Order: sequence, then structure tokens, then C-alpha cells
Amino acid sequence: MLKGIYRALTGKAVTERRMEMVANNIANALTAGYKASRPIFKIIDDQRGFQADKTVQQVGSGSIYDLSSYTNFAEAAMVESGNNLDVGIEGDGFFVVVLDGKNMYTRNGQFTLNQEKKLITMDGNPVMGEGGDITIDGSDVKIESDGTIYVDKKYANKIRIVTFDDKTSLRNYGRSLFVNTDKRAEEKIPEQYTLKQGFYEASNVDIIKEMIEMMSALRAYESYTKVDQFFSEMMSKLINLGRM
Amino acid sequence: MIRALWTAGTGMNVQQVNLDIIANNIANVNTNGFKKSRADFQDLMYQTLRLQGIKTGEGNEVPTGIEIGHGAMLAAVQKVFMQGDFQETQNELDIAIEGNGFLTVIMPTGEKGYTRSASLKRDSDGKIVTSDGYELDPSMTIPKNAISISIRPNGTVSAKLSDQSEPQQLGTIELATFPNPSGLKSMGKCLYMETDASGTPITGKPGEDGRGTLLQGFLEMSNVNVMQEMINLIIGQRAYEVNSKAIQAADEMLQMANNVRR
Repeated sequence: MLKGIYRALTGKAVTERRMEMVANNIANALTAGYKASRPIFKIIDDQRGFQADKTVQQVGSGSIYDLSSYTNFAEAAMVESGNNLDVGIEGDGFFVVVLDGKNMYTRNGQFTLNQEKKLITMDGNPVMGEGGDITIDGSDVKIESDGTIYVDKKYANKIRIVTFDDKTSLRNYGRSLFVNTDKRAEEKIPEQYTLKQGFYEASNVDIIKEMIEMMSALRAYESYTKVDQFFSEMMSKLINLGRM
Repeated sequence: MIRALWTAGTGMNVQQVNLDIIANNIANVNTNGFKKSRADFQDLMYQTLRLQGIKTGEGNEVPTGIEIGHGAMLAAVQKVFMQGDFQETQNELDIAIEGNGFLTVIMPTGEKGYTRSASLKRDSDGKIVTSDGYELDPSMTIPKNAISISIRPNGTVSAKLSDQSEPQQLGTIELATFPNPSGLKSMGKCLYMETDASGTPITGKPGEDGRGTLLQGFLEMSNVNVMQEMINLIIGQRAYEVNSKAIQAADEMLQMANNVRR
């Protein structure tokens, strides 16, 4: 059969995935601490065919896209909320959140308290401090730029901020959380960060970029469709040759 | 089908709720003691088509996998208990709370409600009630022959009676604070109720243990900032619009796919 038609099909499948990523970014355009996903394309430019005569035969030079995704950890703007349990991280680093006994990482600093006066995320998972769970028992809460928390002018705890040398091992868990998938990657304290109380980090989705990505994906899809149609016509002519 | 359709759909859903909340904030821009709400969003779960770190056929590791997100969802609608501005009314039963704390009232069901809208009134028996007629807790009665009432910042209420030269002390207005005010349940009418998340109220005299103080003759206005709400409205509407564009694009893709075979 004609190989080109499969190439167009791969292209179409990849473009659909691309579109889905764009849609997810756009849907999270206002999610605090959200980090946009971006597709990566790799070109497999020589496809190894059957080994005929012991020499590697190159079949065609068409390109098949291999898709993977990465998270863009670029920092986003700080939004002032006036809520004294909102914390934004300026610079590198993540808050540590414990979910089912496992450390998760987030940049979404919209926190609240539970009935035990512990600092939790909006999902109810505890936020970690240097000395374990953070308990805020009092009404005057002051969070310093290094994360030290003073409750009623007394030292309470210090918010734990960690980072990774290689953030590619962080996988999106959903609910604004990231999970570390590489056991070799270790948490470390970032060299420079500033916490801002009363602020939270906005989503880093760039709508203009997403719109361009969306248009380009749409047009690419259209082109693949044209290739499909072209091959379809070609085959139709081939088949009709026999009927002369 | 293309997931993008549903993903962008969740985005539109979330923005719709966002607009609902902004609309409620704007509608209450002149409601005394009103506290604005804020919608907090989160991303939905991800589908991992290929996990990073796994070995490929040649023994190499995949550095980055393929993760496709499924959109956004509403995580919480949070009340923001920021202090509102004060408005002078010179009405002797209007009190503004400077700082943390709520007045406790007894609701018709017998349960306790908490409010910061302290435009108090007298009922036919002289009892101090809210605009809805709910009694204060602890309850307090103003004698019929009272000429003037004074409420001190620490909550002490005293009345000057027509037949006495010295003012008579009537009682103390107490304030309740919560470990987590954002966990309170909104009942409407500027009333809140205790929940498991808010924790149990700590009641006491104003000014003690971090509780706020009272200010007679003033009312706390709504803490809604119109400018901020307008900006949020514009952002929310645009986000809604861009999500609808994503749905359109996904729809066009499906249409092209359907037109391959004519």
C-alpha cells in the first residue's frame, strides 16, 4: 500500500493530541499555580525497513512525528488577593503537600485551615513546614519572605520550599499537584526564593501562544486531510485502471 | 472523539461558575457586612499515554512522557474575610467590628448564627435584635425609659435612663472568632453557621485574645472592590470566549475528518 497515507494518519493523531493539550491549557487559563503543558515533536526521518541483502534499506524519507509533552515551569504573575493565607513563591521552588503519605509538590499557594487549625490546600491535604504539619492557632498570621510563620508574634513554623535539579521527572497529578516519578531525583532547598503573603501565583498559560498553537494545529490537520484525499484519489485511479 | 471538546467544555463550565460568583459579589456591593467570595480552580486529572522514565526498546529511557490533561474544575468557593470600609451612620445601635470576630445571634430554628452586619434594632420588648429580628446572644434588653445607649469598644453596653443620673450597665456584647472563618457556611442575609471545617467558635469580650473591637455609630460596608470585580469579570469572560474557540477548532477538525470520505 501507499506509505504516505499512514504518515498523514500519524500526523493527524499527533495533531489531535496537540489540540487536546491546547484545550487543557486554555481550560486552566485562570487556575492558580497552573503550569502549561507543551508538546514536543521529534522527527524520525529514516524508517528502517526490512534487511534486504544484509544492508539496511531506507524506506522513504517521510517524517513521522513522535510526540511527547513537557511542563513549562516558567513563573507567572503574582495576583494580590488580600487573603492572609495565600502565599506566592517568587523564584524557584514548590510547596510540599502530603497526599496518602506521599510528598506532592505544588505552586498553588491558596491555603486554608482545617478544624485542627492545620494549614491545608483547598483539597484538604496538609502543607508541610520544616517541623512537620503547620498549625496556626491564633488570629494574627505573618509569613516572612523566607517562609517563617509568626502567629500572634510568636514563631510557629517555617513553610518548606523545595525544588529539583531536573524538573522533567515531575509529572502532573492534577489538582494543581506534581508528583516526582524519578526516585533518584532528590528534593533540595532552592538557592533563592521569596514568599509573598496575600498573593498567589496566576496560571502561566499564555493565551496568545495557545491561540497560535490552536490555529497551527487546525491548519496542519487540514493539510493532512488533503494528503489523505490525494492518496484516496490516486488509489481510486489505480483501481479504475483495470477497468479500461 | 477528540478530548479537546470535553476539556474546553470543563473550562467553559468553570468560567460560568466564576461569573456567577463575580455577579453575586457585584450585586452585594452595597450590602453592609457582606464578604466577597472567590472561586479557586484546579486542573483535572491527567491521562498518561506514555510514562517518562520507562525503558524504550533500545534500552534508553524516555525523558519526557505524554500527559494529556482533562481540563479544569472548581476546587473551592472561598469567602474572603477582608475588612470592609467603615461608614459613619451616627445611629447608636449601629456597630462596626474592627478586626476579627462575629456577633452571635439566635436564629428562629434555635441554632446559633454569626454575622458581621451589625445594624442592630430594638424590638417591641426592647430586646436588641438584628434587622431580621434575630436576638443577640447573650440577649440584652434596653429599658423603656432609656434616653441614650453607649457601646464601648470592649463591648460594654450602658444606657442612660430618664430617672437616673448615672448610666446603667446592661451587659456585654460578645464576639466569636473561628480558627478557619473561610470554612463557615453562608446562610444568606449576611449570616454564617459553624461547620466542621470552621472549627468551634471561641467567644469572649471584644479586644481580648486577638478579637476585634466595637465601634458605635459606624457600619462596616461590603468588602467588594468594584474595580477588582470588573477586572475579574473581563478576565472570566475572555477565558470563557477562548474556551469556546477551542471547542470550535476541535469541531472543525472532526468535520475535516468526516469529510475525508465523500
